[in-house]
Amino acid sequence: MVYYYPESMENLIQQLTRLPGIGPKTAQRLAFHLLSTNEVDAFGLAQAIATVRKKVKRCAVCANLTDEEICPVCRDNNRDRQLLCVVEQPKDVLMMEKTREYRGLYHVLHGAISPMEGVGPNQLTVGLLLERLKQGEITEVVMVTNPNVEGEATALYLASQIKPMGIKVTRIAHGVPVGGDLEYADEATLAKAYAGRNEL
Amino acid sequence: MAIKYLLLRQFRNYLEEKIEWHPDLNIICGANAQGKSNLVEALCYISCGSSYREAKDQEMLGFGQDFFYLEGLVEKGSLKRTLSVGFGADKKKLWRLDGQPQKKLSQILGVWHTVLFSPEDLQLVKSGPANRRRFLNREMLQLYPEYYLSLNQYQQALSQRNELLRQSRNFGIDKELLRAWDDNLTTLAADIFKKRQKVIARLSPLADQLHRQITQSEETLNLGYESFLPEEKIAAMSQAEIKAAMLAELETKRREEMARGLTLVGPHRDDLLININGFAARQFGSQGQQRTAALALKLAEVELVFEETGFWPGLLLDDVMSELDTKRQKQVLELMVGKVQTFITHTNPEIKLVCGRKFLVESGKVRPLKGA
Repeated sequence: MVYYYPESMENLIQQLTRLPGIGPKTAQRLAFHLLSTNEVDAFGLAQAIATVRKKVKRCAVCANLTDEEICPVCRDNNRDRQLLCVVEQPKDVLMMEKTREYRGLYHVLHGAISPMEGVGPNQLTVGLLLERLKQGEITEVVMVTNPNVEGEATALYLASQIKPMGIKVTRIAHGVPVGGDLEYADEATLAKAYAGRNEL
Repeated sequence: MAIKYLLLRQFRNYLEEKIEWHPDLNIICGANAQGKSNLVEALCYISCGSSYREAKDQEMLGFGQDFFYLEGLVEKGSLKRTLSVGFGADKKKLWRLDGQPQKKLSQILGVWHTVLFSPEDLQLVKSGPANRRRFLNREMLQLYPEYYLSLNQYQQALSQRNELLRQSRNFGIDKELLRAWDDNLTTLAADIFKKRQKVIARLSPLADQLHRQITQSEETLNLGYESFLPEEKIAAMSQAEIKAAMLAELETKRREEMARGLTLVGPHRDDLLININGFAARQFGSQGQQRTAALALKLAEVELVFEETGFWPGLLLDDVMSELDTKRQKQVLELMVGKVQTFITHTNPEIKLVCGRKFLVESGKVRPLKGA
């Protein structure tokens, strides 16, 4: 009879293969590692997965990931509560936070409008956003969606919904990376940056 | 600008060949199926990174081989640059410029420009608008690499909008959502309209002049851009105005677009107009007129590359000389040889040679032929 891994091992490898960026070989390596490493680490990982799945949910206000009902950012009274930044993914919030420049609130859409993938406004957290804006505290919404075709369409759609409420809608600029050399910017980015030039 | 030599290793039916090219004229002779066009394909590949025969990289591997390699030495005045590309069975491609690996194709494009003229191009005038759009796009990509992004984004937005139209047939239309896509699409479209119109406006007088020289007649050739707006308007209007006009046009087509699930206005429906003496060559031109117009258009491309870059591109004529009468053949050579490095394939090794070098291709071997 040909040898196979024990069924539970096969199962683990199968499960790992479903993860993004993991192929059969890596899955096998990870499975062996989990088996040979000390028990505390292995169960720690299993526990961490179980906890994150149980605890983390979307914030009732901004839809960002949190393990509380309302996330710390939304509760933070030191922030500018009139300014709202709309992003596609939770990781974009982290990027904006790293700037240390932006001190307003956030709203996470969890995607962008893409008819080809069957994603429209109803699949995103657009309803929640519009409800939030109706309360009237926010005076400016900044669109920080990706600078691709879908991100652009999402920004345009949201702008058309928000502007009639009398709220200012802005979009981040496209341009060349700061601190780098011009020669490292690609032609398209440079062309965009040129189109959006500012007077000195 | 001229290519000094080309080295082919395991490319199509060539095992290992190094060909020293003449700076003015190179005539590649040989019977059918010996590898004449493969040679042209190799020249084209090293210039623009893809096969003009729309072959996949895999198909260009020599029979039973697991990699191919091309290397060329390009001279631009006193500047010498070595360009090479290797493709392996692991589907990895490596471009090098002067020995340095290059990650982006845009670094390679333009090191050695070429303009290729193949028998299919003779059909350019007669065939459908899709072919002429392809001609226009390909030409613009060589000269303006950033056009690639505009075109790519436009096509992406177009697919998304078409999908939305199709979905709305079944589930009803979300007008606000469609308007967002209209807004997006028209911004990208306005950019393409403007860029195309500018290129055509520059190409037109060049093509006209060459056409007169080839035909030695007073026939006029002029190029135009056919779109939902008259060409003069595209030229005169700003991008914002064109965008507004296209939005209005989409509004009038809304019902039909919804019914068909297709976007009916935009650069993807436009055409390059080719007129002889003011009449559309596609409908009213004779076969001969259509061919000559196509030839003039291609030679105009050569002139445009010179105007834009300051260097003459290589001219690759694959199997077209035999399609032209002797008078036209002579005209082409007189117009191009001396300023443009020209490569011509021909089945007849007896063809007369005024200057340059003649090569005989026999089952994947190339040897220079002596005398004229």
